[in-house]
Amino acid sequence: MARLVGSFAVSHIVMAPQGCEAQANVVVAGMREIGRRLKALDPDAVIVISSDHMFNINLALQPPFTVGVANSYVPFGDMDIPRDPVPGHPALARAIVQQGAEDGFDLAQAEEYNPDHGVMIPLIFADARAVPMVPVLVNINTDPIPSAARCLALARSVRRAIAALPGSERIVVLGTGGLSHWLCVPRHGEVNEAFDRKVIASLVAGRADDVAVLGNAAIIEEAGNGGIEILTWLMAAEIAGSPSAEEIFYQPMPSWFTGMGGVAFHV
Amino acid sequence: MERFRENRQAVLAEYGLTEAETAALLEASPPALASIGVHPVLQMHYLLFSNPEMAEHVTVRDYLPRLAGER
Repeated sequence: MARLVGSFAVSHIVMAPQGCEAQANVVVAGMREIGRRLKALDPDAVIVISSDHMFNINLALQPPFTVGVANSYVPFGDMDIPRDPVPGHPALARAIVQQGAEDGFDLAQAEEYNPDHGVMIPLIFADARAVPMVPVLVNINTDPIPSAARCLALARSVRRAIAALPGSERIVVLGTGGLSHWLCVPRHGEVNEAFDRKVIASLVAGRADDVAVLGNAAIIEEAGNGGIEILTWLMAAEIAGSPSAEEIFYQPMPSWFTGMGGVAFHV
Repeated sequence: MERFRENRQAVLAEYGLTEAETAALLEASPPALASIGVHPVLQMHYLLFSNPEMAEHVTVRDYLPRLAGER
């Protein structure tokens, strides 16, 4: 059977380093460290859990969860991200969809999907674009946003899908997004460092539930309309069985309008 | 995109927008865009598209040579 060998969570944006070079260096080093650890696990596939920034999942069709099931993906190219194709892992993707169906999740499937920065930035900085990838998208942009409880239930379903996948493949999970940021809403540009650090501390202690029980409304109040992306961090924790974690980096980045962080779960 | 950057008013006129919608899109500020119901994420895309100098800040371009060199 396939095996989960690693799980990480990391922010999924960078901006120009001018004026914040020291902080940007810490962020880049942290994202590179996550990549170094990820690649050391010699994964056969990486499940990237992210939001989509309305380049694919927009107002036209609003599925709560979408799984990419294609053989390969051409990045959307936002943020000047190179549009070189990245490989997919259809067998793992189909297994997630099938297990989801058995567990009460009717997951949308995407044969055509152009990963945006939410998926590509972590892969680029991890130097992991060559690892076959399964994108799992959580729709945080249209109401109702899937509840934290629902996201954790899906995470447990994904865990079962990995365990049931024939073969001996080594699977890594990468939850991406956050930390606190408010975009084009009141409080635009704020960073809630205290909340970010509380989230990281909860995950380090193996207590993702402490964040999940807050509920989406409270998370959005504390972390902003972009900060709700931390649902993906909670899912990465839950897929790994909610183990403790190691903080790899954290920087409050007001000039990037966000808190930036990353953790490695003790799988 | 080029047409829009050269003559925004003419391009917007092709979309059957109200005067308020056109004014908000020409103003291209978050409050103006919010006033006509533009989703915050789509506001961000529109602002980046409308303000190339802003897009220069939201790019991975600065990092790619360095990352390639560390491989």
